[in-house]
Amino acid sequence: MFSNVMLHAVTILFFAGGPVQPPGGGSDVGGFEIDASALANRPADTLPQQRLPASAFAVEAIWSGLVQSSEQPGLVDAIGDREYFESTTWYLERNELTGAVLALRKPVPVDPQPQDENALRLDSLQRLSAWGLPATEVQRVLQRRVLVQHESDNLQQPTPPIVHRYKTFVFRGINGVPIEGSRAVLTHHRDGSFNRALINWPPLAPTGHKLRSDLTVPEIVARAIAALRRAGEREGEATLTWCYVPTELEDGSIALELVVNARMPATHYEDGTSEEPRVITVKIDAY
Amino acid sequence: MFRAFLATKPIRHSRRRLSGTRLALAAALAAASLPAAQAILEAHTYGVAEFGDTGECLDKSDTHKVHTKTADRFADHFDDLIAAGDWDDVDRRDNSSCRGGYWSDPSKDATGDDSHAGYGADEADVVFIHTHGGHVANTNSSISMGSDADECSVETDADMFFDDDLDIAIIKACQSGDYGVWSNGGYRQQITDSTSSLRVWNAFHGDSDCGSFVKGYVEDYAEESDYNGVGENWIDEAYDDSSSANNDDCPTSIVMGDNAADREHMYEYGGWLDIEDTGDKTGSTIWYISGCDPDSGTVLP
Repeated sequence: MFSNVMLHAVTILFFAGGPVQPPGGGSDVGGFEIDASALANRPADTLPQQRLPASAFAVEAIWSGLVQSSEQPGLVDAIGDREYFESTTWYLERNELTGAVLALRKPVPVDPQPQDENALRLDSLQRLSAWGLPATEVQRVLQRRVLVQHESDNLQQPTPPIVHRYKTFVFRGINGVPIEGSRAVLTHHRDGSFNRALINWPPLAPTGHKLRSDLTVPEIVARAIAALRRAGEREGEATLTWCYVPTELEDGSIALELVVNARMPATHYEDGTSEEPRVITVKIDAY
Repeated sequence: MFRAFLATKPIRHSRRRLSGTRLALAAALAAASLPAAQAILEAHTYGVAEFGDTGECLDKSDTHKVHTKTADRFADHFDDLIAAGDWDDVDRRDNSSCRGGYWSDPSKDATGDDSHAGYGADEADVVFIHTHGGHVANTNSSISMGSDADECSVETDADMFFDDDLDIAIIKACQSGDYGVWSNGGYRQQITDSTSSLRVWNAFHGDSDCGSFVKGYVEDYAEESDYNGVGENWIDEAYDDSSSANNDDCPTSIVMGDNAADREHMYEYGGWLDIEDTGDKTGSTIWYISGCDPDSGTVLP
């Protein structure tokens, strides 16, 4: 099921069931083909009650919940709002205002062993939970291997790839909608020991969020076309999805604003060049 | 951490992190006579957003306005470091100020002027560029410039060679750290010799998505890489998996030096304020996400 909207002399398609061909099978010359099917379900306009508290960025909370070390870290430096700590076997950096943490273990020899990667994934999630991060803020989790290879003037060919670290990528989202820019990446060494955490997860303000919009889907599609044109795009396919973007309030706290992302796939030209996928942010008068 | 004091040129470390012994050693190194351009810590950022108009490269449709904004976010952090007394200078060279000559070495290209004060990529300690890029399979990578005054596309093999001051290069451009090119002798062998100071080349295998979200992860990456993880932070921040096949974002980190241990230490524990000595550039190491599947690039092992 689809309908056509004529806007600014450009044919725009939006539909609830995924991409379809324009009527008659003809090409949509000079226009955009918009897949707005993901907008059919509006996200809830409230935040979950259980959220990562600002107190999670206290050194004690990071140390006991995330790093799970009995060592005592001491402050060794500060640049702006970012503070640097060090203990016997760990480095720790944090920025309470931006919700940033970088914890990494100092170099240590390990005995590499085959790993149960699901167990590593569960360990990562357990650490985040112990730190105070509720499942209600987790959008998706990916378990990945980082591989490493070497080459040198003394080698005829590069060494074969081996596992360097195991990483758990945790992406933030609420109400089924991703939050732009927030992620936690927890890393395990080749012996399965916890090695590192890089987190950008600003705690959310209690109020001031803009989680709802009264625009209809056709109105959002029109906004998307206008935003694409302002971005210099002239034609092509775009898929619309909900997204929350963080905005800084006057007191420095972070609130969310509901927007729509218009994602255009890579474009490959006849001369062999290509243009990478682009994501254009579409404002939808959220309040 | 703290290996900067073994470096081949003076690296000024944050004064607040130094023990007395290290302070004395750092002061001695800083007093060594070196060309003025190498004695200060400089960052250059290049945002190439405008394409297709008179004097510009590529086509109008390639214009991505966010490219200058991401570069500005990267530069902002170096402003903070300057305010804290930990860095000396940052220069924003966007659009037409990013010329092919500034990324080309005179030994390879007649227009080469990569040591041009305040502009040349090889005149800075750290460079960041956000532009379009491409690669020729197993051969080279290229990045697009903001002016057609010199070459519009600068190639790793035909144009680039860093033999002056550059230590760390962050390349937010498609296909700029291609696995096949690295596997077949690209990058280190093309852009350095054994005495080059360039040691980190963070880039992408295949295409990488573009949008306002890039501003956020570039800003975060710059802020969290003062002392640690200049390579690994790039992998953590820039990787993303696509719900559709063949569209992953696949960051790569390539560190050059004479032994694997020092290269790994730079990747994990090096940063803008801790540019570790990795020795002669006689080898390199690449890190990447296994199975990452980008557009315009092979599926990584």
